[in-house]
Amino acid sequence: MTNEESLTRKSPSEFVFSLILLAISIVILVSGSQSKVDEVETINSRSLPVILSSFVVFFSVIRSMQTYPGFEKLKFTEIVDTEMAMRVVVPLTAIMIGYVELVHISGYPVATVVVMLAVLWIYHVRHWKQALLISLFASALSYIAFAKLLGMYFPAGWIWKYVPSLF
Amino acid sequence: MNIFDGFQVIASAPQLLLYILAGVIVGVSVGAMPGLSAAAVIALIVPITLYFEPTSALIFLYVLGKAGRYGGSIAAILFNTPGTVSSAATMQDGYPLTKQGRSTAALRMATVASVSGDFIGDLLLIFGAVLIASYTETFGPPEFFAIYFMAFIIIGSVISDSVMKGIVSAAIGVIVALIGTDPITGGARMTFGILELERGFGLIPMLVGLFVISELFDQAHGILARRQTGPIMKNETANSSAKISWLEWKLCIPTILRSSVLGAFIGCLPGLGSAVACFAAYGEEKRRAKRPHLWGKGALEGVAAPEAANNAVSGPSMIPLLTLGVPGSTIAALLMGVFTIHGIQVGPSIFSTSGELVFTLFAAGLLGIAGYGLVGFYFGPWIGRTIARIDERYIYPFIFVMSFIAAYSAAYSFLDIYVMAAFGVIGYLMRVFKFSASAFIIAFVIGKGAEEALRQSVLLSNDGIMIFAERPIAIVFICIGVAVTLFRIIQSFRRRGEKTLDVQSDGVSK
Repeated sequence: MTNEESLTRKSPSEFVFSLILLAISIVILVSGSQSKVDEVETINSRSLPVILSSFVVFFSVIRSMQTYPGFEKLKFTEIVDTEMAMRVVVPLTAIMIGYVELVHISGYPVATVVVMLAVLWIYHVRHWKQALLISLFASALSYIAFAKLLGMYFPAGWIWKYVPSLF
Repeated sequence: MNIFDGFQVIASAPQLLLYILAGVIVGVSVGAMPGLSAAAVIALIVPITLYFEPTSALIFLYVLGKAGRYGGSIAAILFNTPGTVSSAATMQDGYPLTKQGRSTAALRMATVASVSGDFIGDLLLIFGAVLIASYTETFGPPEFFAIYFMAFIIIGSVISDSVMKGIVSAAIGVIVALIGTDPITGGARMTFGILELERGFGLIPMLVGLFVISELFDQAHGILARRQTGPIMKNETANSSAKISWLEWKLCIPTILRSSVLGAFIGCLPGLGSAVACFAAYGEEKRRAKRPHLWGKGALEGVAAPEAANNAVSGPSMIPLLTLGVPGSTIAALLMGVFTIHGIQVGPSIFSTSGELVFTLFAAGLLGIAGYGLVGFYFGPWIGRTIARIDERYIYPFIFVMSFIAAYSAAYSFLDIYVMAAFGVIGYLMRVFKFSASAFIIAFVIGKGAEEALRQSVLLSNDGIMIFAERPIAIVFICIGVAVTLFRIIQSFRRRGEKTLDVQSDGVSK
């Protein structure tokens, strides 16, 4: 399926998005209406959160109705290539979260090489030698620039405490 | 203090010239890269500039923003892809000129128009900001709340194609700004019992997520969809003509002047920004054109008009920031963050508290315009050719790593990485469903100030919320905001009606 073909396919994505927005805005509305207030204030700490989140709740309800897939006319909905979007957003977000864990385990330079390789793969770079060279270069350059020259602190990585004992 | 004192400061500290030069080079190069906006790069670089002196940091970022806005024209003319949103109108005549072998002439016209527009805009900033600030110094909380309210609904209704989605984006921005400790009662608000949320969300991780990570998602999506990248064009600039006839100059000079004035005026209003200015100038000049049949097919005036207008916005968009503390554009919102990080309070008192810094910034802006003018005029085609040779697939992973460093280094907190990732996903969804990340971030920046001004106004008054009806200036600002929003709502209903008619007539013809 070409990109154009997949983009013309109608999807319930915006309906789902509107429902998520509705759920989040209800949670914020409830939370905002429970915050501590000063009795002296006419307009208090609850006022703006409640007014604004009520507005977002109202908008989400209208939008959910407009984009409900059961309607024959979906003229108001944004057409989204959900499958392609998921193939990008999920792995890149997972890599970002994994990067944090990896920095704690192996330290910044090694984690950066691994993460760069993974991101290059997602960006469809398939020449592994080139990818490895670029990853090593990017890791070394950023480490020298930020850690050594600017003096930023990065965790050393706990694995290095155990590596000497292996030899 | 005046502008000459600003030049004197730069002359006495030559290293500032290096920051200006660096801002010009980085700005033009980044602006010329399709997809990468100056705002995204500023968001990435802000944490690094925390290690600079405030003057150097602000000069570098301010010039980078100006040069980046100009750099967008290179991508628009050569690759038919706007480097920045503000260059979208430039493509319409810029790329046809490239196809005719006149890319160098188009780039040179874009440079002359950008420099002229930016210069006129900066004159308005230099002379207008001081005047306005002397007036706004007398404003109290009710006037400030009215200004915040006006900015909120104008930004929300104008910045996005859909008025409702724009206002919802701005509303969510304010809600997110209110998460954390309440400034008056000191109690936790909307923190869901999470201790880390009491300090609120950091500006930098949020900016990097919304503008850089969402762009990385978008680019990866595009690369996967195309399954090929490689150079967009290679040789079209190699033998192109740089000649601009006297007749073309005669047609373009009035266009540049009119568009610059229009752009400068639009820039003064918070939220309207360069994207609105470039299309307004393009439309107006097309209507006035002596050779309308050439527009859209390669008219140099079609390059001059949007470029003059979008760069003329740059200076005046700082007026609301410096005189009222309300950012007029995304870049101004980023600069407001930088001012705050360095402990400088933006608003009407800035000319008395940090006058030297502000005039040095103005002087650096003028030198930056001259700098990107020279770089663009002589090296624009070369920069374009060089960027065309770079495979973007190797650039974005590097930006991914830079984003990680930018978000982490702001507070040395790994929680900020998760915040960045979350806002990256939110930013991407906002792009996909046509919400406005710019409206969100500007509203986030002004949100806390707006709430404080509202609550202080009501506390000061015996009549509660009716205090706004007793203040004529506050009424004027609120009315302007409501009028602009009503105009946009009517306009969007008309457009929807026209679209429906088009669809119906298509159906009849089929």
